[in-house]
Amino acid sequence: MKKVRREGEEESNRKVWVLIVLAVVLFCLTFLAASGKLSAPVLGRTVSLVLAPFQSVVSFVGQRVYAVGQGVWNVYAVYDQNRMLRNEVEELRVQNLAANEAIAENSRLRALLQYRDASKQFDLVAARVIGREAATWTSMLIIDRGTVMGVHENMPVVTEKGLVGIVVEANLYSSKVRLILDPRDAVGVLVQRPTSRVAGIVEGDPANPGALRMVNVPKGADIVEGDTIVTSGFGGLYPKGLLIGTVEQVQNDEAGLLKYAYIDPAVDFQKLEDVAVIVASREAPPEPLTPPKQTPGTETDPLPESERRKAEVAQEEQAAQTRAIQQAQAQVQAAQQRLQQLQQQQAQAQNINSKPNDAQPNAGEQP
Amino acid sequence: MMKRRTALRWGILLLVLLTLQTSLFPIFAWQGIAPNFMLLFTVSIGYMCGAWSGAVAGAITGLLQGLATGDFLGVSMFCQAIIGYGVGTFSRTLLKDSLILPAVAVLGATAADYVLTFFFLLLVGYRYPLMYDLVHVLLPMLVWNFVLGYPVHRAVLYVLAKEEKRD
Repeated sequence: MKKVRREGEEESNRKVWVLIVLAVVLFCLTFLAASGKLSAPVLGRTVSLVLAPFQSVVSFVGQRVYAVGQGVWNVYAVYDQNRMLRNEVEELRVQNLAANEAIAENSRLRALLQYRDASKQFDLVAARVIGREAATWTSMLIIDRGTVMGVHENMPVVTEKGLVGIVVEANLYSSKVRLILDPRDAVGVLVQRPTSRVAGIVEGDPANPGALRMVNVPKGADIVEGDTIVTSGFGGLYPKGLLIGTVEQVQNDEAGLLKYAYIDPAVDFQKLEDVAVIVASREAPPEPLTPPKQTPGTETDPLPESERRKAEVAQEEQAAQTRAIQQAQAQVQAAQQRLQQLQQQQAQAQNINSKPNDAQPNAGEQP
Repeated sequence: MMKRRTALRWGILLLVLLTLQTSLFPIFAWQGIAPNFMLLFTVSIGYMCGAWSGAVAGAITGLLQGLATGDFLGVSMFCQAIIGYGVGTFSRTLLKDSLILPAVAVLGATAADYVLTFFFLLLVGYRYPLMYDLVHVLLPMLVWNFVLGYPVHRAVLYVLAKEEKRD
């Protein structure tokens, strides 16, 4: 029994030693292989030779199965992507629409701004059309400006294209505008052509809503198709020079003593979205006078006299400039004084904040 | 004759497993990781046949893997031989009919294989980001081997059963 047990123990010890030796040998072989000093090219080629056909077949089958799986997945993914793209297209359509609206609004407002910049004699308040009277579609508008913004009754309303109408009712934040197409409205006008300057009245045509007619024109008046019609300023409501439209057709009236002209309005009343209210108007500054050209030797305005006048004008301009500079300097000085006061106040506030800390001296510092 | 047939059966099984490991499953790799059928074979042999058989199986499968894939010759051989011996030693007192225990053994063997390979490559001079590898290499490896451990174990059991029948 003891002999069998001893033999068993010896056997297992031998096995353990063999195992340890094998492990060490393997370890060393591995290190040699890792450092490139040991390789088994023949064995490697043999294994590759045996494996290669099986690997080709299995790889081929595997690729096909993968491709089928990808195809099925792609169908689902494409369906899902299609749905997402449709949603995106809808969103983009909405955005595109909004962008186009913004572009259109931008161009309208830009045109109105240019008109405002060009019309130095008017003070304009921009307004948006927020409603129309449904009963008579073309004759009344509602705009989003009221007395709070300085809009009051009887103020003219224009666009960069021409006259639109007049404010008939002003509330706090909105106003009603009667268009010049309204038959109840009448605008005093002139033919702009310098050789004509025929005066008349433009009013809406009750038989033809949306059209304008110039009436009270004498039979022999010089007015032809294509003439530009502007406000005359005679009524006191509309400033002079606002564009109404162009003459389309001239006809004699039934009595035969007068004639009337159909006017093609400059403003498209169907497309009004942004308008401007003239809250104040002034006479346009006159053009500077230029002396006429004089024949040498027959001058009625001799050179020294004209030079003296020129020098006077130059002196006046210089005096005006000096006054403007002095005013600017006074403003700069006032601003500097104000800045100094603010700095003093800030310094006082800082002194007040730092006083409790300064009451106790730090360790090591001499009081 | 009988030994030849046995050798043929085991050879065919090894060939199939090696082909699957090197050709098919890399196509469906998850995060670039495919199952290690050679390790699963070693674990099954070690579990069913004991420590020495496990060590020999590990050495053979490691050598085949090294020759077929072009890895460092000997690393897989060394690691799997140790793992085969270890599984065989620990399974001496365990139930051979159990299905859960081989799956648990597979998890342990996979982790041990990873650690041994990591340290060996560290000794040779290669550096790997350990924390990154634990998530992106070891975890997929554990999942693959756990899922495919049972079919490989069944295949080994089948061949062993055929051998027993012949005997």
